[in-house]
Amino acid sequence: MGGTRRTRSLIRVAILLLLSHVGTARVSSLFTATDTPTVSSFVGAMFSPNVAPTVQARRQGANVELSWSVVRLGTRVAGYMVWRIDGSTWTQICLGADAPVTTAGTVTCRDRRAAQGGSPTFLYSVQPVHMVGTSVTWSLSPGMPQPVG
Amino acid sequence: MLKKQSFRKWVPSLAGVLALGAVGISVTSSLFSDTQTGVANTFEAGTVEVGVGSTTRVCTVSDMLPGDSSSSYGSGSQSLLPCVYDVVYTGTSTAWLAVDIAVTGGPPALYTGDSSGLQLKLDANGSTTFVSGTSYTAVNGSPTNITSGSTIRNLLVSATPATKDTSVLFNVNYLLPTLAPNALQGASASVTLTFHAVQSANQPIGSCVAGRQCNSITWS
Repeated sequence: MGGTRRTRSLIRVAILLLLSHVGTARVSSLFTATDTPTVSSFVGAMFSPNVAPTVQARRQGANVELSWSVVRLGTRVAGYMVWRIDGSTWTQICLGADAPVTTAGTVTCRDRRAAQGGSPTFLYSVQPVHMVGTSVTWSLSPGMPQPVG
Repeated sequence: MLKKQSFRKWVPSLAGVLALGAVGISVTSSLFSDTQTGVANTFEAGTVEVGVGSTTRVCTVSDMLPGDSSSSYGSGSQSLLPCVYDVVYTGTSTAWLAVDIAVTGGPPALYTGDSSGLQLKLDANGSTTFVSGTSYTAVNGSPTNITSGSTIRNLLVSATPATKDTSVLFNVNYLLPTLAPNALQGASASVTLTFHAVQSANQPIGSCVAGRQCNSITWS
């Protein structure tokens, strides 16, 4: 009697093992392979420093000489928009032949039409930008307007 | 008395005859014979293997600015190097090849899923295009947006199964458009490509088209 039970149990175990093996065969029925290369990454540049520098304006004869610290944009040097502020009118200056020049960490440019008789009452501000062609893409807010010192 | 004696005499002789007979039988059964062992039938499973070759160039692009693009994007500066994945199929069985793409990143995320963020072009061998801008081609052929954080699976590489040592050059070209807003300064994105293969035997391609997502093949 006990022997019969043992035999039946063994048969059940054998059937279960067989079924589990069949299941495994079904899961791995397709040959597949996967390869994941390292991820590619992209990071946008940042202005450094991330606030516009304060411009220094000094009268020199009929002109006003402007200077400020270099601003970088990632590994590149930023461009600049330089503003003469007369009341509520902002006029871009330092264009063309008078474009800003960078020398050892300092950027300079000249406002040639500043002093047309008397002491100039204008304010000046610099805005770091990135330009593509003639279009501004990324920029910082203009620096605090400064009087001629 | 005589009968008994003669029987006793015959017993050894009979035994001798039987012994010799046995020897005779033995001799008779040693026939010339030969057995030729045929070449064994072997059943060796094929393999499906895919790997990345030596010319692979994974991108690490930092300090991207609006207008920056890789050499074959078609617009922008085209001054940067594209990402290149040299995928080699080395299995012995023929197989279908597919690529999965996932774009993640941020915050802030450089890939915005629209025309203002990172744009991508993914192609194979410069001919089959999988991703253009921010969209891939779905099973039904319609351009479908890739959203950040999701994985687009099973973009079919070719309608012809790959054979051993088939090499496919995947190129990722990219552009940060001039429309990119100031908010994307310092933003980041990651592009993960997963290449995979499945046996083509007993797996009809159905209506799948190269460059599109293909779901009629069982990929795993």
